[in-house]
Amino acid sequence: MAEIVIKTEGLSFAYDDEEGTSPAILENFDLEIEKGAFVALLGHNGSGKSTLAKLLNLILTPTSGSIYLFGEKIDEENMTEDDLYALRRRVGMVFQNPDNQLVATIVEEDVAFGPENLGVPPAEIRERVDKALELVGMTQYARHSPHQLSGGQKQRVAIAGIIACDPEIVIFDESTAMLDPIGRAEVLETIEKLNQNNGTTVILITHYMEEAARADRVIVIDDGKKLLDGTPKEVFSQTKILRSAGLDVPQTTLLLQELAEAGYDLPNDALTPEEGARALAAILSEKEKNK
Amino acid sequence: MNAAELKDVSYVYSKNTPFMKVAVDNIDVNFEENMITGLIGHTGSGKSTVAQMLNGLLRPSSGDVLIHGRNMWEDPKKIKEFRYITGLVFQYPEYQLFEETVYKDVAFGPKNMGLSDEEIDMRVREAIHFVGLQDDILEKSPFDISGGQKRRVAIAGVMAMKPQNLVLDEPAAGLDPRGRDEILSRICEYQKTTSSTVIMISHSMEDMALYCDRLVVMNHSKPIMSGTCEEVFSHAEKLEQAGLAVPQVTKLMLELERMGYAVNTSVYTVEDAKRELLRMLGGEKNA
Amino acid sequence: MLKDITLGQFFPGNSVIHKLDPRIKIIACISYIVGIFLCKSAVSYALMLVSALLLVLISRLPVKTVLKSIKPILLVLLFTAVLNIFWHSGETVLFSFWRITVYMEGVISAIYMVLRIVSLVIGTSVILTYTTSPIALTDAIERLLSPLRFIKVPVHEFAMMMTIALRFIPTLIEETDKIMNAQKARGSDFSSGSIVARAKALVPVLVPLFISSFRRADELAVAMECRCYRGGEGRTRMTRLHLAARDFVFMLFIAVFIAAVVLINIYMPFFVV
Repeated sequence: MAEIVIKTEGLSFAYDDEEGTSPAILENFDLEIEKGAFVALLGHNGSGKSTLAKLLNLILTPTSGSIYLFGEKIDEENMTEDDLYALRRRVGMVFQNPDNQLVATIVEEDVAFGPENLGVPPAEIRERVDKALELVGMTQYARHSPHQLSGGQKQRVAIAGIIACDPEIVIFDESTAMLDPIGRAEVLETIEKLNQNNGTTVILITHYMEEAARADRVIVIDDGKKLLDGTPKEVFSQTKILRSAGLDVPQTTLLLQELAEAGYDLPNDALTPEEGARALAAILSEKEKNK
Repeated sequence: MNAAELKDVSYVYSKNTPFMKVAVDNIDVNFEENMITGLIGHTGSGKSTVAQMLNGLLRPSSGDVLIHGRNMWEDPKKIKEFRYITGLVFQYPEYQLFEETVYKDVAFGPKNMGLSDEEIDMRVREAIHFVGLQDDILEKSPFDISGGQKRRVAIAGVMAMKPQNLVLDEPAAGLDPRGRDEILSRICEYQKTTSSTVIMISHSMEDMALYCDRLVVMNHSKPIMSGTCEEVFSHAEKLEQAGLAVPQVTKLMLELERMGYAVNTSVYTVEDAKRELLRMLGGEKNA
Repeated sequence: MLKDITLGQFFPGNSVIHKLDPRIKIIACISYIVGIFLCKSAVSYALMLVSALLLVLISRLPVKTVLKSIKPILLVLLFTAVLNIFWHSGETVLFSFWRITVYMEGVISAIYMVLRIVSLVIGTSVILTYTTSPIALTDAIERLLSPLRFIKVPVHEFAMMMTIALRFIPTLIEETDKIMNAQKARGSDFSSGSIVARAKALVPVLVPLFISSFRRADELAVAMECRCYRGGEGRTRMTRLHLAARDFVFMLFIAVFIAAVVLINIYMPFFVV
């Protein structure tokens, strides 16, 4: 079994307020993520999925419960600033608004920002920047200014900036929510490449079920609790639970399930239109034979 | 009569500079009265430019924009009048909120129109109800409410001006499925109650298929298709060629057609697809 | 439209001056200004003009754009000239009327002053602003001033602030444009009415702009922290600036200019005022 890189135990979080009565955003959340996995966290706005991301990246401190990163327990009181910094370096994060993540006025300077902060020698920074830009497919824009780029391109530059820091885990916090379909497709492709070619562990936070369906594992969060956890097929066949959590269900799955309810022998976990068409073709041709 | 009509309209950005870009290229488009029309296309297909021309924020480089048969730019001094006839809600409109309270923000447009206080009060309350919010939100600061609520307040701010035509640029962008369904169905209801004309811009075929009466599809600065949803989706292949994602069920039917089955491919909702397939399979088995 | 404002006056190019190390450019620019102020003799002024012209030629910038840089200071030039002509006293009276006497020296000094300012503007714009990108300039300032950090001057922080400002100005201009349009669609009027009414009309633009800027600043700070930013300490840089032969040649050119000016002042003191 692969190494567990992220583990949480009874993780809870609530914002401080004067009476101490603000509702918990995350409640008793247990999670284990293996090295090299591609996990999607799916939930509607306010379900607690972004809070979980910020906890994992040590931006927020849990109200109770514990987090283990790479087998090490996070204990902010007894850890020095440097220890936290060292851990944070291994967990990168890409945010929602591409504009608010880019620091420099030239693409490659921006990608270099992270390694520069880490004190990497200049020649190696150059190497890392070139490699990162190549992975996200933005090499030809290296000398451009970020404001000349489209949303999807900016987000890919932001991803390159994180890759250049050489993290083992990258968390994407709704990184596609502000993009158009073309931008979303570009970014998603980049994320898959990062996971497959680099072996980076990827956590994709989203409310788009089409995106979650591309992960190896989908975790559905609702009201700060884990609702479903499994492969995309396992999760998306639970159409009723998904709908009650305010989420979309793949049309193919829904169509086949409704036809199955009408008495036809169809699988309840078909995800893609191609899969659905194949299953339908099977029963259609059988009917023709019977004629 | 058409609520809005573009006649041989072009729009060119940064004319006569190296950055010149043709956003809209000699187009003729009609938007019919008293219905919801969806304007679909990719980023850069020119749909947002069309929206700003309908409201008079942009003046076409050539051609005429007719609003209810009247030429918009006949007398440029009177353009403000047309801005009140056609309301425009921009993309991510929550970023334009600025007043201390929701009430004042929604009242901003009506106030600029010079209406009486009673009239403004009536309109503010009506608009807030249209977008599905309650009176108790009126005294809150627009910066203390949730993102979805902000979006709705911003839309109410334009609805309160009671425009005859309402143009919305990506009203559901960035919202989760629940927020998206809520806002789109509210807009639908608003259109039915007020019998006004609504034009919605989007790149989501699935959403538009559910809520619009007619569709106009744009690609590369020109409309490539227009008509009822059935008409447009009967050319699903052409849509795919233009790089527009057709609904999953439409894709499924296309796939079946490719496999040699004689299916009707102009379906775009799960219900339609179910009906069509049951017809082919010979009805419900359990019934 | 706001979008049409171009930022900075940088004209990308490939000339020798464009390729110079920005640190050298700053030093050269300051030296050149010193040289200009050392001029006393008519011959040195002539040399100054020739050198300015030479700089323009080397930079391969269109002469028209360079001349345009003088346009905004025409009034200053006129004022300086008038001041020198009428207030400078001397020995050779050119003519006098009413209570005003114009001296030969006054006219000469007016010409000198005008030439000096013109060369100054052309020199700095050709060496620095027209041929150096703002980011290279910020970078060079940071590196040149870096010794000051030992006396606790936050050089890196200032440079970082400059960089972020340069990065976000186009974004904010775009956003201003967008908010103005949105408020226009709600009946705001920015182009008519009294000054008070126009100022008031800006409130619905400024409030959202401020709020979004704060939000951006907040998000950017978190994003920078996620990329392990901890201030200037322990930072390295991807691009190391190397001095090339052309940098030394250019400095030599400036040095020769200053030396020539000084020598001319001593040995050819024509029309010194």
